[in-house]
Amino acid sequence: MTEPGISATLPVVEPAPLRQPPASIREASAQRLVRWRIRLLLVSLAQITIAQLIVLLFLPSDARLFSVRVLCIAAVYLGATPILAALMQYAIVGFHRLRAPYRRLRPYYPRTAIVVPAWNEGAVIGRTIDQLLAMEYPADRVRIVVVDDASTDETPAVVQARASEHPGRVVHLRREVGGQGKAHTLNHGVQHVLSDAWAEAVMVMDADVLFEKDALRKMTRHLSDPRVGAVTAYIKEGTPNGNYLTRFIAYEYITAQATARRAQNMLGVLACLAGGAQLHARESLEEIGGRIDASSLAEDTVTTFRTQLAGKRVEFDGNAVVWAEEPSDVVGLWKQRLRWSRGNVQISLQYASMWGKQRRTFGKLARLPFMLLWYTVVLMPVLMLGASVGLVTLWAIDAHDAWSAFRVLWIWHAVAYVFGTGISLAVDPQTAKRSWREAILFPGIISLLIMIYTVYPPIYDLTVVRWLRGAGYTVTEQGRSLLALFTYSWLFLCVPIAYLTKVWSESTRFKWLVPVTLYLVGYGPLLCAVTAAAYFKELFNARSIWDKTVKSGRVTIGAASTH
Amino acid sequence: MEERIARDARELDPVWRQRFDADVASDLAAEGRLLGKAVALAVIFFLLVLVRATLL
Repeated sequence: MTEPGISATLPVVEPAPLRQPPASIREASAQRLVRWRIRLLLVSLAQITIAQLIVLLFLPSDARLFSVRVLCIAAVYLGATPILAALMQYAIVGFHRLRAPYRRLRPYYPRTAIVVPAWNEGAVIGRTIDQLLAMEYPADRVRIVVVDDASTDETPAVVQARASEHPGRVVHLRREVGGQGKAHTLNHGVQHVLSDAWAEAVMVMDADVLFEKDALRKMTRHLSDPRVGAVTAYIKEGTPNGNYLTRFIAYEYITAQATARRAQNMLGVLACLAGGAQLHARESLEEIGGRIDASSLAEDTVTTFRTQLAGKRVEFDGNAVVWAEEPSDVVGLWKQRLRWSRGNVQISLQYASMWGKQRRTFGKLARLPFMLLWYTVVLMPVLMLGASVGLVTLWAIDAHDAWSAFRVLWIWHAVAYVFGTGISLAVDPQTAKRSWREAILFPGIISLLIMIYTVYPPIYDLTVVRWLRGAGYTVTEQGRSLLALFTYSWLFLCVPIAYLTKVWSESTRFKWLVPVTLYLVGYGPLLCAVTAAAYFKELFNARSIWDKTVKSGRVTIGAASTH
Repeated sequence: MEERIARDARELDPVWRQRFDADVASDLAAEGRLLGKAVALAVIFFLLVLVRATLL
């Protein structure tokens, strides 16, 4: 066993370059993927064409109309699946207490190597290291390995200074050739850490993430259960005095992490270990090859899948809290989320065929609840488009049918919204204090008005019609029809309008419109627009670029309380 | 694993055991509060649906 003693004064260690599969294999694999995509597209087109032919050529007119009506209603109700998936999570999250594994755990403080990838992180890295050193954890059992990815700013100097102050506890690794992406940088550090027997657990994190003092020990305790392979923490948005966007993100993280991941704990399967704080048992990491996946843009998710496919459990501890700085403008958010969404699309393609063929191997990953959670997110733009097209077509055939389907769909929206917002705000009251407005306006003002209208339709006559009459106008049938067409299309219309916030964010003239539009159309549709953009990028095989999110070092532990 | 846990019990200051116990107690309490809130919300929500169905 090697004692902690890698002196920071020694020359910087440069492990051997990671082994890549031969170029021919990589090329063949990429070609297979492209062929698979083309096949998928062609099969889908063929199915649609055949269905259309049957409807248009072979059926009598009554049956034709009936078939179209059934297809449209099916498309509308299919659009409700993301709502049902969300409701399922909100319904079970409260019962996390009954499943909480805390009673089974035992005090366990493994020797933990913390790998921090850093590329031009001079503004944040010093504070991150100081915070890690100040954690309440046995001091001789933590080693911080900063992998400096050929930084050109003051990162090397800052890390070297900390390494000199804390020899053996802080290690500076430098890659002379960098820019290959986070996974490659991490693997450099992971390989170094696993090259001797010191580390019993490996923490992978981001350079800007600040750990609360008890976060590491709240994560390591889960590893006392040998069935657990990895643990992730609750990442909170930590920009003090942030703007409308950081408050939206803060609320999004309550729903997407604190709430959704608790629900996934209940289902016994986790979709993603947060890249900013993932702890692996050494044995588990070695079992999946001793490296982080570098084949997609969502290395965290692939690592999570592989850990679970290797038969280990992955846990989320919502009481282990870390703080991160998130983008404060839509352009930054778009870049970050496009990377994540594209990674998810790549993973869906990678695993799609295997899910069908190897259900047993996939265990809980292949069960309906997880499939519902995963695919309703990845397919959200398609489902929304389908529901809108279905509603508008129904409206053209039979306005009464369209109204019924529309009401059912939007009443479910309202149910999920009211219940989900209540639960999410209850999960993290600290963040709720600063983000409650964004929580209420998360679906957007227009969608909120549609929800109110569908839950209580007379409100339209009691307010809008009465007000117009008072102003000397009358609402014609044509006006009502136009309003119906708008509300039926809104589920899809909101996506391209949300995309405009990204376009306007890049201009100087229309920048002021961004917050107004975001509050009107909602933050959810913006994420949906990102997913739609990820489809196009993937379909046209655009280059996978690892766009780094720029950090300024503004993050503060307990930022919520400063608002 | 058993060896490592036994090692921790042997080598580490008892304060780490106390911190572990305190963490578990506070986290269980937090999860319990969440359960209470979820049940309360479900009841409020049910009442809202009842009001909409009967009074409006």
